[in-house]
Amino acid sequence: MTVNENGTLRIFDKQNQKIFDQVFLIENGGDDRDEYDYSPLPQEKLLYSDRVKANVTLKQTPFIATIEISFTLAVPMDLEKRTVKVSNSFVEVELTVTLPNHKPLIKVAIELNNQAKDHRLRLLVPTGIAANCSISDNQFGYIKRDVYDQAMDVWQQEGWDERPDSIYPMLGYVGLSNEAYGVTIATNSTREFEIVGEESDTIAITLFRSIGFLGKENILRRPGRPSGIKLPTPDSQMLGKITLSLVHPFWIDAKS
Amino acid sequence: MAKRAKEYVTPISFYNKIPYNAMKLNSSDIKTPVQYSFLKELNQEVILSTLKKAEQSKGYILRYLNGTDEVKELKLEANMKNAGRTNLNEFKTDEVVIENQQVKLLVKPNEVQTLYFEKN
Repeated sequence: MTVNENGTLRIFDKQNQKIFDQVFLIENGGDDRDEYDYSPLPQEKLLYSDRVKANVTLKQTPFIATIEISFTLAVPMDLEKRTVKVSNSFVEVELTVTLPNHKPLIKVAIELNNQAKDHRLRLLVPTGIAANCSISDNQFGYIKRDVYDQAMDVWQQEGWDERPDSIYPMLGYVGLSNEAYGVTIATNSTREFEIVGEESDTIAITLFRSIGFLGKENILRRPGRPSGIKLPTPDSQMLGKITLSLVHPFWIDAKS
Repeated sequence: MAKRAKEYVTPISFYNKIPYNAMKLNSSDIKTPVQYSFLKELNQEVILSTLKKAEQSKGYILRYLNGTDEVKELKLEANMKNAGRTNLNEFKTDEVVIENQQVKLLVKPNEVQTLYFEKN
């Protein structure tokens, strides 16, 4: 495992002889919605941590290896600045990646310092698997879902109230697999994911959403009346420190 | 996958007692062995959910589930007796055969089962 200049990981999986690059890239986009759910801005260009310069420290003991990665991601202060593409605020990101010698897994603890409003931060895990469906768990079992909900193409013609985005909850894990191998992410904190990328090969885990209203009207995903009432909720901008003792992916063969 | 995720989200917690007391606690007369095995999973097919003492009797309750879409087998080894499946109320619904200190039980997809047993 090596750390790229931008703080992402390059992982060589010895079992499957595969390289996973740009693991744990951070994605940032506007969030025009409310406490209920997410909505993107029209014609938005997403921001990524691909060009940041990260500080990296490595520690290795006979039992465990630890990588500490930190960087500051410049983001717009609010929706207004985001529309004119001015990144005048920031989110500080600190990833602590640990590799215990006795377990086939990578642990990630994430500490964030958010100073911006109305946005969403996600962690991207590329899997190299062009997937049709994802597997995530619910109580006592798992659920298989299409990575893209076909109803997103017809919701307006059919007069749906809301666009059914393929953003889903999980209880403990989400994974993609093909005949050869699988990639899974287990979580002990944040529990929302979407499969993204042109090939539907990347697992995006929502780290946090920062919003300012209980319910908002006339947004991209939901035209018309607000969900609930339009009441300001300034605390849900999630300003300040956020700790997620969180996601860890591990690589396994497809059979299990 | 499901089993490993479950193990990750519910890790075994323990602490290393330092030689002198950081807190005043009543000292215990119980001497525990350095190494001890309560029970052993002989395969990795079902997810163990709970192990606790039974509410009304002196045995133990083990709850486990099958999070896959195929029938799976639970294989356990322990020095036990009087094993039987129970309902959630911990009343025995059937007896379970113990052979060479092992029990083998089939679990249907998404099924949760409760096993009662006593230690020898």
